[in-house]
Amino acid sequence: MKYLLFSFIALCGISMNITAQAPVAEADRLVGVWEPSNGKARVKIEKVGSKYYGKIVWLKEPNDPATSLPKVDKNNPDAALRTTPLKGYRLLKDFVYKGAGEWDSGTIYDPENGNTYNCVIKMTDNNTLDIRGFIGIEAFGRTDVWKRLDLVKR
Amino acid sequence: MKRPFLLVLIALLGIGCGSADQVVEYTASDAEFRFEGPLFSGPQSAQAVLAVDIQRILDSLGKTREDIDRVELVGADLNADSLAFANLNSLTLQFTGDQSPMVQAGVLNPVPQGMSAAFTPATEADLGAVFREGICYALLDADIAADADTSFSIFGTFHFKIHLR
Repeated sequence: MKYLLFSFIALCGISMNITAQAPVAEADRLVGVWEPSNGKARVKIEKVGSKYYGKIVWLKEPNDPATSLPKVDKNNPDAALRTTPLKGYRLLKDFVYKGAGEWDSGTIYDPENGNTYNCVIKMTDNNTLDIRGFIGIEAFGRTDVWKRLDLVKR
Repeated sequence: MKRPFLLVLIALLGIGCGSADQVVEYTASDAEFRFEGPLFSGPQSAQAVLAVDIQRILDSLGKTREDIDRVELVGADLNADSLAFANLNSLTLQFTGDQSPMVQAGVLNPVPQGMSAAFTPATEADLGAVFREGICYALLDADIAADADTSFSIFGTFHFKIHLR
């Protein structure tokens, strides 16, 4: 009888632990390598502390045609940062999991014009993200669809 | 005509001086950024936690963290425990907290050869939110030049100017 009671308590403990970890695992579905619709870059999303960040890990055109050197963040509003390489650049910052497949409170940086926008990420299925950038009100923004890049299994 | 103008000018200067903020210098040293091998060419990151230990300074001035107006990085010196810099194309430095947003504070591109280097800090980066929070994560993003079956550490010393209200 005592043995049964201990087993029951242990099972309850395991079940509670699984329930507590579920939201973390759900939030971490964002982690991975993603490709924007234009196919010009690949972005690796990772977790730092409790927030999510995305950095460019691959560029279709890694070099600037004008200089033949690796592309840098030449449009950064801060002149001191204009030599930052685009490969490795953190363009998604500070995303917090809100629940129901949505991460908010973050920003997205557009290296083509040096602007930073508020951003919301919605996971429409396990391999698709709607990335919505906006200024001020979410309704007045633009959405891009990103696809998860899976390693080819050999 | 000249006298009223002079009085207004003196008054304006007085207001300017009265509102001038108090500036405190603070250095965080020996932050270790560990890059664990094997390392593959391309972007790699390492992070260090800085405990922003400024309570005693604030207490001595009769201030609290809420009185921190803005914080600027004025210098960042890096030292490597090996010839690690030889295999790095660039380094980017960022700070963030659990609540506060990530701020890019400096870049080093190209990385000079040798065992030490200094960042040119970003001119517009404000780390005030991170310092008000107290816990600060420093992130070092490196662009590794070539695959390397090794690990290395980079040690950072960061000099800040804290502007108090």
